[in-house]
Amino acid sequence: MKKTKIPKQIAGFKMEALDDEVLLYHQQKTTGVYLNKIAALIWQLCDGKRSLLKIENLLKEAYPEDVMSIPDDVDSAIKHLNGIGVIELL
Amino acid sequence: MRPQGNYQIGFAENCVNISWKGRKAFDILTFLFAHGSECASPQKDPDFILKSTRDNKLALRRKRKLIHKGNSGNTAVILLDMVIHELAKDCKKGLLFHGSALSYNGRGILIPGQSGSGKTILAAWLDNQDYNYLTDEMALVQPEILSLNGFHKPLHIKDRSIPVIKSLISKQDINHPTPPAGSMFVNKGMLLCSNHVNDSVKDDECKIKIVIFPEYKAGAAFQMVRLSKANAGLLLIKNLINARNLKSHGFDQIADLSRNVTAYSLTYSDFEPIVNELYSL
Repeated sequence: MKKTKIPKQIAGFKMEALDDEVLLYHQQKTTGVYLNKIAALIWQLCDGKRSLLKIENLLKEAYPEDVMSIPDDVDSAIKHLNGIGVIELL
Repeated sequence: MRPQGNYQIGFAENCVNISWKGRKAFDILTFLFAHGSECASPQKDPDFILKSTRDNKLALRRKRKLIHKGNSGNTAVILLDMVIHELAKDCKKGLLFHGSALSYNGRGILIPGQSGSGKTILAAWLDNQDYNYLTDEMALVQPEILSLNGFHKPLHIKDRSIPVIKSLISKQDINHPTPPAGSMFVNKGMLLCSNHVNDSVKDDECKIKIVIFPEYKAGAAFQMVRLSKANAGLLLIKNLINARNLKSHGFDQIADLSRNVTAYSLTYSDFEPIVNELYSL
Protein backbone atom coordinates (compact mmCIF):
# COMPACT_ATOMS: atom_id res chain seq x y z
CA MET A 1 0.00 0.00 0.00
CA LYS A 2 1.35 3.41 -0.95
CA LYS A 3 2.44 5.38 2.07
CA THR A 4 1.27 8.62 0.47
CA LYS A 5 -2.34 7.47 0.83
CA ILE A 6 -4.39 9.47 3.32
CA PRO A 7 -6.83 7.49 5.44
CA LYS A 8 -10.00 9.24 6.55
CA GLN A 9 -12.64 8.09 9.01
CA ILE A 10 -16.01 7.39 7.45
CA ALA A 11 -18.48 9.93 8.80
CA GLY A 12 -21.30 8.96 11.09
CA PHE A 13 -19.59 6.67 13.56
CA LYS A 14 -20.00 7.35 17.25
CA MET A 15 -17.05 6.28 19.35
CA GLU A 16 -16.72 5.03 22.91
CA ALA A 17 -13.28 4.31 24.33
CA LEU A 18 -13.47 1.32 26.65
CA ASP A 19 -10.18 0.78 28.42
CA ASP A 20 -7.67 0.90 25.56
CA GLU A 21 -10.08 -0.47 22.99
CA VAL A 22 -12.83 1.22 21.01
CA LEU A 23 -16.45 0.52 20.22
CA LEU A 24 -17.93 2.25 17.18
CA TYR A 25 -21.53 2.52 16.14
CA HIS A 26 -23.04 3.90 12.94
CA GLN A 27 -26.67 4.75 13.53
CA GLN A 28 -27.77 4.95 9.89
CA LYS A 29 -26.07 1.69 9.00
CA THR A 30 -26.99 0.14 12.40
CA THR A 31 -23.50 -1.27 12.49
CA GLY A 32 -21.35 -1.83 15.56
CA VAL A 33 -17.61 -2.31 15.26
CA TYR A 34 -15.03 -3.49 17.76
CA LEU A 35 -11.45 -2.20 17.47
CA ASN A 36 -8.59 -3.66 19.46
CA LYS A 37 -5.89 -1.48 20.98
CA ILE A 38 -3.77 -1.08 17.84
CA ALA A 39 -6.68 -0.63 15.45
CA ALA A 40 -8.28 1.87 17.85
CA LEU A 41 -5.11 3.92 18.05
CA ILE A 42 -4.63 4.02 14.29
CA TRP A 43 -8.29 4.75 13.61
CA GLN A 44 -8.08 7.81 15.82
CA LEU A 45 -5.14 9.06 13.77
CA CYS A 46 -7.07 8.78 10.50
CA ASP A 47 -8.10 12.42 10.29
CA GLY A 48 -8.14 12.77 6.49
CA LYS A 49 -4.99 14.91 6.61
CA ARG A 50 -2.20 12.60 7.72
CA SER A 51 -0.65 10.20 5.21
CA LEU A 52 0.17 6.61 6.14
CA LEU A 53 3.81 7.63 6.33
CA LYS A 54 2.97 10.41 8.76
CA ILE A 55 0.96 8.01 10.92
CA GLU A 56 3.83 5.54 10.92
CA ASN A 57 6.27 8.22 11.99
CA LEU A 58 3.99 9.46 14.75
CA LEU A 59 3.72 5.95 16.14
CA LYS A 60 7.47 5.39 15.89
CA GLU A 61 8.02 8.52 17.96
CA ALA A 62 5.45 7.44 20.54
CA TYR A 63 6.59 3.80 20.68
CA PRO A 64 10.32 3.73 19.87
CA GLU A 65 10.62 0.19 21.21
CA ASP A 66 8.28 -1.02 18.45
CA VAL A 67 9.90 0.77 15.51
CA MET A 68 10.49 -2.45 13.59
CA SER A 69 6.95 -3.77 13.79
CA ILE A 70 5.06 -0.50 13.33
CA PRO A 71 5.04 -0.42 9.48
CA ASP A 72 3.47 -3.89 9.34
CA ASP A 73 1.05 -3.06 12.16
CA VAL A 74 -0.09 0.10 10.38
CA ASP A 75 -0.39 -1.68 7.04
CA SER A 76 -2.50 -4.54 8.41
CA ALA A 77 -4.62 -2.23 10.60
CA ILE A 78 -5.36 0.11 7.69
CA LYS A 79 -6.34 -2.83 5.48
CA HIS A 80 -8.59 -4.11 8.27
CA LEU A 81 -10.20 -0.72 8.95
CA ASN A 82 -10.75 -0.18 5.23
CA GLY A 83 -12.16 -3.69 4.87
CA ILE A 84 -14.74 -3.23 7.61
CA GLY A 85 -15.76 0.15 6.24
CA VAL A 86 -14.74 2.53 8.98
CA ILE A 87 -12.16 4.45 6.89
CA GLU A 88 -11.62 5.36 3.28
CA LEU A 89 -8.29 5.95 1.57
CA LEU A 90 -7.85 9.24 -0.24
CA MET B 1 -72.73 -18.98 31.16
CA ARG B 2 -69.04 -19.30 30.36
CA PRO B 3 -66.54 -17.44 32.55
CA GLN B 4 -64.90 -14.41 31.00
CA GLY B 5 -62.73 -11.49 31.94
CA ASN B 6 -59.67 -9.44 31.14
CA TYR B 7 -56.06 -10.32 31.75
CA GLN B 8 -53.50 -7.54 32.03
CA ILE B 9 -49.82 -8.23 31.44
CA GLY B 10 -47.23 -5.61 32.21
CA PHE B 11 -43.54 -5.21 31.52
CA ALA B 12 -41.15 -2.34 30.82
CA GLU B 13 -43.86 0.21 31.59
CA ASN B 14 -46.05 -1.22 28.85
CA CYS B 15 -49.24 -3.17 29.16
CA VAL B 16 -51.12 -5.76 27.14
CA ASN B 17 -54.79 -6.42 27.74
CA ILE B 18 -56.23 -9.80 26.75
CA SER B 19 -59.95 -10.36 26.85
CA TRP B 20 -60.67 -14.03 27.54
CA LYS B 21 -63.71 -16.23 27.45
CA GLY B 22 -63.96 -19.82 28.68
CA ARG B 23 -62.07 -21.81 31.26
CA LYS B 24 -59.49 -23.12 28.81
CA ALA B 25 -58.56 -19.61 27.72
CA PHE B 26 -58.15 -18.51 31.34
CA ASP B 27 -56.02 -21.57 32.17
CA ILE B 28 -53.63 -20.81 29.31
CA LEU B 29 -53.25 -17.19 30.36
CA THR B 30 -52.60 -18.23 33.94
CA PHE B 31 -50.06 -20.78 32.80
CA LEU B 32 -48.22 -18.26 30.66
CA PHE B 33 -48.41 -15.08 32.68
CA ALA B 34 -49.33 -15.81 36.30
CA HIS B 35 -45.86 -14.88 37.54
CA GLY B 36 -45.56 -11.77 35.43
CA SER B 37 -45.61 -8.16 36.49
CA GLU B 38 -48.75 -6.13 36.94
CA CYS B 39 -49.63 -3.25 34.66
CA ALA B 40 -48.66 0.21 35.82
CA SER B 41 -51.55 1.70 33.86
CA PRO B 42 -54.04 -0.96 32.78
CA GLN B 43 -55.58 -0.67 29.32
CA LYS B 44 -59.30 -0.55 28.78
CA ASP B 45 -59.46 -1.88 25.23
CA PRO B 46 -58.21 -5.41 24.66
CA ASP B 47 -55.18 -5.93 22.41
CA PHE B 48 -56.11 -9.58 21.94
CA ILE B 49 -59.15 -11.77 22.43
CA LEU B 50 -58.69 -15.40 23.47
CA LYS B 51 -61.74 -17.66 23.45
CA SER B 52 -62.33 -21.33 24.14
CA THR B 53 -64.27 -22.75 21.19
CA ARG B 54 -67.01 -25.38 21.14
CA ASP B 55 -64.67 -27.88 19.50
CA ASN B 56 -62.32 -27.64 22.51
CA LYS B 57 -59.79 -25.39 20.80
CA LEU B 58 -58.67 -21.84 21.33
CA ALA B 59 -59.26 -18.92 19.00
CA LEU B 60 -56.91 -15.97 19.16
CA ARG B 61 -57.99 -12.66 17.69
CA ARG B 62 -56.35 -9.30 17.39
CA LYS B 63 -59.18 -6.80 17.54
CA ARG B 64 -61.69 -8.81 15.47
CA LYS B 65 -59.30 -10.48 13.07
CA LEU B 66 -58.73 -14.18 13.67
CA ILE B 67 -55.01 -14.82 13.99
CA HIS B 68 -54.97 -18.45 14.99
CA LYS B 69 -57.25 -21.29 15.96
CA GLY B 70 -55.75 -24.47 17.37
CA ASN B 71 -54.78 -26.50 20.38
CA SER B 72 -53.52 -25.01 23.64
CA GLY B 73 -49.82 -25.56 22.99
CA ASN B 74 -49.56 -23.89 19.62
CA THR B 75 -51.89 -21.08 20.62
CA ALA B 76 -49.78 -20.47 23.71
CA VAL B 77 -46.60 -20.05 21.68
CA ILE B 78 -48.23 -17.70 19.18
CA LEU B 79 -49.82 -15.64 21.95
CA LEU B 80 -46.52 -15.44 23.81
CA ASP B 81 -44.70 -14.16 20.73
CA MET B 82 -47.35 -11.54 20.10
CA VAL B 83 -47.47 -10.34 23.70
CA ILE B 84 -43.69 -10.08 23.82
CA HIS B 85 -43.65 -8.11 20.59
CA GLU B 86 -46.39 -5.82 21.89
CA LEU B 87 -44.60 -5.16 25.17
CA ALA B 88 -41.24 -4.56 23.50
CA LYS B 89 -42.16 -2.42 20.51
CA ASP B 90 -42.66 0.86 22.38
CA CYS B 91 -40.13 0.36 25.15
CA LYS B 92 -38.17 3.59 25.43
CA LYS B 93 -36.89 3.44 28.97
CA GLY B 94 -33.90 1.21 29.46
CA LEU B 95 -32.11 -1.41 27.41
CA LEU B 96 -34.26 -4.33 26.38
CA PHE B 97 -32.26 -7.43 25.52
CA HIS B 98 -33.12 -10.69 23.86
CA GLY B 99 -31.85 -13.08 26.46
CA SER B 100 -32.28 -15.03 29.66
CA ALA B 101 -31.78 -13.54 33.11
CA LEU B 102 -31.44 -14.92 36.61
CA SER B 103 -30.46 -13.62 39.99
CA TYR B 104 -28.56 -14.98 42.91
CA ASN B 105 -28.64 -13.11 46.21
CA GLY B 106 -29.59 -9.95 44.39
CA ARG B 107 -26.78 -10.33 41.86
CA GLY B 108 -28.11 -10.38 38.33
CA ILE B 109 -26.86 -12.49 35.48
CA LEU B 110 -27.85 -11.54 31.95
CA ILE B 111 -27.48 -14.23 29.27
CA PRO B 112 -28.07 -12.55 25.92
CA GLY B 113 -28.37 -14.73 22.87
CA GLN B 114 -30.27 -15.44 19.71
CA SER B 115 -32.45 -18.49 19.27
CA GLY B 116 -30.37 -21.65 19.41
CA SER B 117 -27.54 -20.16 21.47
CA GLY B 118 -28.37 -22.27 24.52
CA LYS B 119 -29.58 -19.42 26.71
CA THR B 120 -32.81 -21.14 27.69
CA ILE B 121 -31.35 -24.50 28.73
CA LEU B 122 -28.68 -22.66 30.67
CA ALA B 123 -31.40 -20.67 32.44
CA ALA B 124 -33.33 -23.89 33.15
CA TRP B 125 -30.25 -25.48 34.64
CA LEU B 126 -29.34 -22.50 36.80
CA ASP B 127 -32.95 -22.24 37.92
CA ASN B 128 -32.64 -25.79 39.16
CA GLN B 129 -29.67 -24.68 41.26
CA ASP B 130 -30.06 -21.81 43.69
CA TYR B 131 -30.61 -19.16 41.04
CA ASN B 132 -33.89 -17.34 40.67
CA TYR B 133 -35.29 -17.40 37.17
CA LEU B 134 -36.34 -14.05 35.72
CA THR B 135 -36.80 -14.76 32.02
CA ASP B 136 -35.60 -16.79 29.06
CA GLU B 137 -36.67 -14.25 26.45
CA MET B 138 -36.59 -10.57 27.30
CA ALA B 139 -34.62 -8.72 29.98
CA LEU B 140 -34.72 -5.04 30.83
CA VAL B 141 -31.66 -3.22 32.15
CA GLN B 142 -31.69 0.33 33.47
CA PRO B 143 -28.02 1.28 33.02
CA GLU B 144 -28.21 4.27 35.37
CA ILE B 145 -29.04 2.11 38.37
CA LEU B 146 -27.95 -1.24 36.88
CA SER B 147 -31.28 -2.86 37.64
CA LEU B 148 -32.17 -6.10 35.89
CA ASN B 149 -35.74 -7.29 35.34
CA GLY B 150 -37.10 -10.12 33.26
CA PHE B 151 -40.35 -10.80 31.47
CA HIS B 152 -41.37 -13.84 33.46
CA LYS B 153 -42.80 -16.64 31.33
CA PRO B 154 -42.45 -20.41 31.12
CA LEU B 155 -39.14 -21.58 29.70
CA HIS B 156 -39.51 -22.47 26.03
CA ILE B 157 -37.47 -25.61 25.52
CA LYS B 158 -37.03 -26.64 21.89
CA ASP B 159 -37.28 -30.30 20.88
CA ARG B 160 -33.55 -30.57 20.23
CA SER B 161 -32.83 -29.26 23.74
CA ILE B 162 -35.19 -31.50 25.69
CA PRO B 163 -32.66 -34.38 25.92
CA VAL B 164 -30.08 -31.95 27.32
CA ILE B 165 -32.22 -31.03 30.31
CA LYS B 166 -34.14 -34.28 30.59
CA SER B 167 -32.77 -34.88 34.06
CA LEU B 168 -34.42 -31.68 35.26
CA ILE B 169 -37.78 -32.66 33.88
CA SER B 170 -37.57 -36.15 35.38
CA LYS B 171 -36.66 -34.67 38.73
CA GLN B 172 -39.63 -32.36 38.49
CA ASP B 173 -41.94 -35.29 37.83
CA ILE B 174 -40.64 -37.06 40.91
CA ASN B 175 -41.13 -34.02 43.09
CA HIS B 176 -44.49 -33.17 41.60
CA PRO B 177 -46.45 -36.34 40.92
CA THR B 178 -49.24 -34.32 39.37
CA PRO B 179 -47.42 -32.04 36.93
CA PRO B 180 -50.40 -30.09 35.47
CA ALA B 181 -49.52 -26.43 35.40
CA GLY B 182 -45.84 -27.23 35.20
CA SER B 183 -45.37 -28.03 31.57
CA MET B 184 -47.07 -28.10 28.22
CA PHE B 185 -46.06 -29.67 24.95
CA VAL B 186 -46.08 -27.30 22.03
CA ASN B 187 -45.13 -27.56 18.39
CA LYS B 188 -41.43 -28.58 18.29
CA GLY B 189 -40.84 -28.27 22.01
CA MET B 190 -42.32 -27.65 25.42
CA LEU B 191 -43.11 -24.84 27.81
CA LEU B 192 -41.84 -25.46 31.29
CA CYS B 193 -42.76 -23.35 34.31
CA SER B 194 -39.65 -22.27 36.12
CA ASN B 195 -41.04 -22.54 39.61
CA HIS B 196 -41.90 -26.11 38.74
CA VAL B 197 -38.28 -26.91 38.09
CA ASN B 198 -37.36 -25.38 41.38
CA ASP B 199 -39.73 -23.73 43.84
CA SER B 200 -37.52 -20.72 44.24
CA VAL B 201 -38.52 -17.48 45.82
CA LYS B 202 -39.10 -14.88 43.16
CA ASP B 203 -36.52 -12.18 43.11
CA ASP B 204 -37.53 -9.95 40.27
CA GLU B 205 -35.36 -6.97 40.95
CA CYS B 206 -31.64 -7.17 41.22
CA LYS B 207 -28.46 -5.46 40.12
CA ILE B 208 -26.79 -6.73 36.99
CA LYS B 209 -23.26 -7.93 37.68
CA ILE B 210 -22.42 -10.56 35.11
CA VAL B 211 -23.17 -10.97 31.41
CA ILE B 212 -22.64 -14.33 29.75
CA PHE B 213 -22.81 -14.85 25.99
CA PRO B 214 -23.49 -18.56 25.62
CA GLU B 215 -22.90 -21.04 22.87
CA TYR B 216 -24.11 -24.56 23.44
CA LYS B 217 -22.18 -27.10 21.36
CA ALA B 218 -22.78 -30.80 21.89
CA GLY B 219 -19.53 -32.43 22.95
CA ALA B 220 -17.59 -29.17 23.20
CA ALA B 221 -15.09 -28.61 25.96
CA PHE B 222 -16.10 -26.10 28.62
CA GLN B 223 -14.63 -22.70 27.94
CA MET B 224 -15.44 -19.48 29.76
CA VAL B 225 -13.41 -16.50 28.62
CA ARG B 226 -13.55 -13.03 30.07
CA LEU B 227 -14.35 -10.42 27.42
CA SER B 228 -13.00 -6.92 27.11
CA LYS B 229 -15.49 -4.13 27.67
CA ALA B 230 -15.49 -3.20 23.98
CA ASN B 231 -16.09 -6.80 22.93
CA ALA B 232 -18.93 -7.10 25.43
CA GLY B 233 -20.40 -3.85 24.15
CA LEU B 234 -20.46 -5.09 20.58
CA LEU B 235 -22.22 -8.32 21.58
CA LEU B 236 -24.72 -6.39 23.69
CA ILE B 237 -25.55 -4.18 20.69
CA LYS B 238 -26.33 -7.29 18.65
CA ASN B 239 -28.86 -8.49 21.25
CA LEU B 240 -30.58 -5.17 21.92
CA ILE B 241 -34.26 -5.32 21.00
CA ASN B 242 -35.39 -1.73 21.39
CA ALA B 243 -32.47 0.13 19.80
CA ARG B 244 -34.73 2.03 17.41
CA ASN B 245 -36.65 3.58 20.32
CA LEU B 246 -33.52 4.95 22.00
CA LYS B 247 -31.37 8.01 21.46
CA SER B 248 -28.32 7.01 19.37
CA HIS B 249 -29.80 3.50 19.38
CA GLY B 250 -28.79 3.18 23.02
CA PHE B 251 -25.09 3.24 22.14
CA ASP B 252 -24.05 5.48 25.05
CA GLN B 253 -26.04 3.35 27.51
CA ILE B 254 -24.54 0.17 26.11
CA ALA B 255 -21.08 1.61 26.64
CA ASP B 256 -21.96 2.56 30.22
CA LEU B 257 -23.32 -0.89 30.89
CA SER B 258 -20.19 -2.50 29.43
CA ARG B 259 -18.08 -0.48 31.83
CA ASN B 260 -20.05 -1.70 34.82
CA VAL B 261 -20.43 -5.43 34.29
CA THR B 262 -18.09 -8.35 33.91
CA ALA B 263 -18.72 -10.22 30.67
CA TYR B 264 -17.79 -13.69 29.51
CA SER B 265 -18.19 -15.81 26.44
CA LEU B 266 -19.17 -19.34 27.30
CA THR B 267 -18.90 -22.49 25.21
CA TYR B 268 -20.41 -25.50 26.90
CA SER B 269 -21.93 -28.91 26.56
CA ASP B 270 -22.13 -29.73 30.26
CA PHE B 271 -23.56 -27.67 33.11
CA GLU B 272 -21.52 -28.64 36.15
CA PRO B 273 -18.42 -26.59 35.26
CA ILE B 274 -20.60 -23.52 34.71
CA VAL B 275 -22.19 -23.73 38.13
CA ASN B 276 -18.80 -24.15 39.79
CA GLU B 277 -17.38 -21.25 37.81
CA LEU B 278 -20.32 -18.97 38.63
CA TYR B 279 -20.16 -19.71 42.33
CA SER B 280 -16.52 -18.65 42.28
CA LEU B 281 -17.27 -15.25 40.73
